[in-house]
Amino acid sequence: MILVVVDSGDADRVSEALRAGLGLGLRGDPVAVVLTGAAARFAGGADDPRIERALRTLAELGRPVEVVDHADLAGRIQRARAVEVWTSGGRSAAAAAMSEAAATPPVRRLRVGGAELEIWPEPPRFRRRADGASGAIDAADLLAQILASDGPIVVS
Amino acid sequence: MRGRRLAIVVSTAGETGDLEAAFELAGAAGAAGAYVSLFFMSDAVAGLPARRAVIAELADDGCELAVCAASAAAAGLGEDDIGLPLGGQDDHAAMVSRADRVVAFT
Repeated sequence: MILVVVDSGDADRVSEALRAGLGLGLRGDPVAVVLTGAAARFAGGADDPRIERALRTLAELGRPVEVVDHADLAGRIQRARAVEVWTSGGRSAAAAAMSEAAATPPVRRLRVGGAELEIWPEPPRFRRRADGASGAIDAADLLAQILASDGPIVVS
Repeated sequence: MRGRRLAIVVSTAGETGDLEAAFELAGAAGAAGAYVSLFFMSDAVAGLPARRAVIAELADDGCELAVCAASAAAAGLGEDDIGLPLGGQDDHAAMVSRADRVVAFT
């Protein structure tokens, strides 16, 4: 299952996420699209014709978009093969669902296996927080963790 | 890691730093002998012309790169501006479908 998590209050981002959710099904893979956090208000379309059309098409394809809360979201993410979390660019509700760690926007969170890393806008981009401080992680080390993991990678 | 397939999707604006993080990860994956594919759409596409050099490097190293044509059109960009052929959501679907692991900066 490919899971598209829409976690943005911005109509443009929600519209693009739904477009991605439609597109990801073109090769026959099972795809689920869920709205969470600020995106939940778009479940009825919110008078945006792009969103209304995408929601209708997904429903016609037998893949109706669902609204999920944080408790449901963590389980769905764990069961997915691949996850795309569509945010407004900052920290999302999905990040909160996956972690107890404090975050300072716009630092992103990357969840791989049981580890949670930070992605910073400037070098060193990949960091691990320990004892209240962030330590740099080499991209090659991060890649090794990603390719060796047996669960989905979640950037939120 | 050799032979494993990594797909990276980027949809966020260049100012977020996500493009650079994606390129860094793709470079490391290529160096490790993994098959790497990158798909760019939405706000990420506007940031690509300023990053043509690294895009060309990744392409030379065998990385598969594709850009959403609809997003490029919305940003007023063509293939010559980006330095890559334009594609679509089918590329997105194919890359994610084939991948062993997916990292989405979306």
